[in-house]
Amino acid sequence: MKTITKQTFRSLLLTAVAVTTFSANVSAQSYDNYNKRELLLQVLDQSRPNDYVPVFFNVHFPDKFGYKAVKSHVDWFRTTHVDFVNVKYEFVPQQVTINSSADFKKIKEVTPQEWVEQIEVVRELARELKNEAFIIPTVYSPLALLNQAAGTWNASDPKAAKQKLFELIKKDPKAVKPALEALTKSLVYYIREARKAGADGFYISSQGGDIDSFGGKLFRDLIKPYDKQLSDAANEVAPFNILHVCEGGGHFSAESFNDYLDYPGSIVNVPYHEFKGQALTTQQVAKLFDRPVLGGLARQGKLYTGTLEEAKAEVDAILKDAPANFILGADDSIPNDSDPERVRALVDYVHSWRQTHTN
Amino acid sequence: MKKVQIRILAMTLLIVSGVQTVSAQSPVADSKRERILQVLDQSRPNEYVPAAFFLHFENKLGRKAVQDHKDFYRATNMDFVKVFYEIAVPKIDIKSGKDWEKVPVYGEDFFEPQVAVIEDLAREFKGEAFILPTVYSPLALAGQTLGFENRKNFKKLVEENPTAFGKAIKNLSLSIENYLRAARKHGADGFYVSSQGGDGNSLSPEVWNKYVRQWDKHVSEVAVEIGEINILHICDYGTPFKNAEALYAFADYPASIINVPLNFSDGTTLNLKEAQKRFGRPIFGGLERLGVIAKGSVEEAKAAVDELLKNASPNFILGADCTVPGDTDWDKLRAVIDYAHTWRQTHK
Repeated sequence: MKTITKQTFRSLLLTAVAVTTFSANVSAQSYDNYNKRELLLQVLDQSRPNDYVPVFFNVHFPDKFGYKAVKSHVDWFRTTHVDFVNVKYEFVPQQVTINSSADFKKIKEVTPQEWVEQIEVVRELARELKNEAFIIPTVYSPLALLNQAAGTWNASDPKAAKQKLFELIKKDPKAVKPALEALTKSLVYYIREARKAGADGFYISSQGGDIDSFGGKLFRDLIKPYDKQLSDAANEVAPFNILHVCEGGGHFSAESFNDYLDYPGSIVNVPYHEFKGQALTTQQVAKLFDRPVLGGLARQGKLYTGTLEEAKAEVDAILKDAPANFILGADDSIPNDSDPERVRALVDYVHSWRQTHTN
Repeated sequence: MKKVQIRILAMTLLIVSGVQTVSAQSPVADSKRERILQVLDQSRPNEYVPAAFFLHFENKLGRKAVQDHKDFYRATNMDFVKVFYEIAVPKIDIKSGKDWEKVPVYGEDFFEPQVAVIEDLAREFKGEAFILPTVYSPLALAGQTLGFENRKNFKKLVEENPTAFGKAIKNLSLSIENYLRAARKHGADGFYVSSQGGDGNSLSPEVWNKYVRQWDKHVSEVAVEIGEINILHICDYGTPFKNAEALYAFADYPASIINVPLNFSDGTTLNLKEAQKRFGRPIFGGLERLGVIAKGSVEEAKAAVDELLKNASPNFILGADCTVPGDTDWDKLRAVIDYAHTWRQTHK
């Protein structure tokens, strides 16, 4: 070993690099000098399948705001090789006690200055990563924010608390409208400010309540007029938006999706499990929405519960039957204690899957 | 105290940033590359309308040709760098149909001077815009092989020996493949593939379908295999298509965007919205190459753009149906291109 001088070592290294470089084949969407922004945009080319398959996994970080939150996002992006920067929505603007429908009046519009901390995370991440990847903050729905404000998520018995809230809403839908309107305005404000701070688009988490209680007519009459405004606003201000239909613990059926077909969004991400025995395939979703699909995996797939080999096998099965224009991901945030190194191993595997599995 | 200061600073930042306006696809940090890619999002119309026109330059190859491309790109503010195909295959003395067998496959080295232009332009512009070289069709190259004087005998020479002609077309298609691969390695992002384009409409349907079509299509297939984004130009140079249906016969050619002819020999014109539906892809074009863009004033050209964009396909890039005349005023092109860019934001 000692006989190899520094210079020889360097020239060996250079040769190795050169050999590797020249043996590389060119292929469509090969990433010679462009970045994850373009790789993601290429998924939109519906004239052919994207042969680089981008991947999206996200977790909630312990640090919600400030430098540490920014660092958590950067580390996750760098360590896992995911293809865009999803900025978590962590802002809880207000907590109110809702015991009667009159209490809905307590829910107020969130003032601009209250958004500063959440928007600063977007701004810092844009400064750091915008040149190489899309900055795509999550946006919760008005219904989700209503639950958040009423404290149902943190209640000792979230299910019962949710149920209580839903009963109040169902009893007097009119009374909740001003609250939904105030929350919608606040979220539209967030979308516009985040865009100015550097967001390239939004991961719009629509619905976000319990579909069992809030599906069908009630959704169309009461929730959708507010819910859809967020997708519309995102579509108006940003180049690349993902429509996430959030099941919020309920049970979607294939027909439930019809209510979302007129929502704008460049890519759709819908739940795939817990259907009443009639889950849609990713191909069916792509056809139904006539858009590229993000998804394929359940929140707690083999990536979390199994070995890496099992996770790869799961991905093999999904990619074999995926629609032409496809981004692999889970139908919601993956568990917070997911191992980033393992996520990366799977992400790398997916990126080149279509180039290595030609049949 | 410190906390208060931070709060004030944050508020100031917020107010300052609040002054800028934003809109979808607004060019905050987005390059022309991304703006072209955004056109591919068929979930909505592209709000920024990219635009591009082409004309042949006086200098065909070498340093001066590179300079012409640079000047034109900068002067017109067009949205991608289209590199002209200016290298001709050698003329071969084809006296009878059998002579088509003399046509060889040209290797990558043959295209070197053309690739050198691409490489120089890529060095200059690749960071900001797509480098899309033009690719001629096997039929167009067959025309070059014959030479200008002999072209009047084209039909006769094809029909004398369609099999030998088919071999020539195949070899020319494989030659073009060599060009594409060399160009991609030297900086091309994708291609402007000029399909048909050699008066294919004058060939008998049998010859076209049996000997030409698959090798014409092969060029698009190679482009799609290696390029990031490709435009299929369906050229009607020579003989126009009979009607829109004849044009839609090209719908199985791959490419991200379709550049269409506008007028058909039965007197009908193309409906751009219908074209996007039938091809399932964004449309590039809309203006006639010898129309107001060539001959009219800036005001007349803008009026034509108004009319066109009112009825354009949702996913659309403004351009002409082919190369505009070489003496077209660059300033006029610039005015029309700038006008198109913001049209959808200013005409809601």
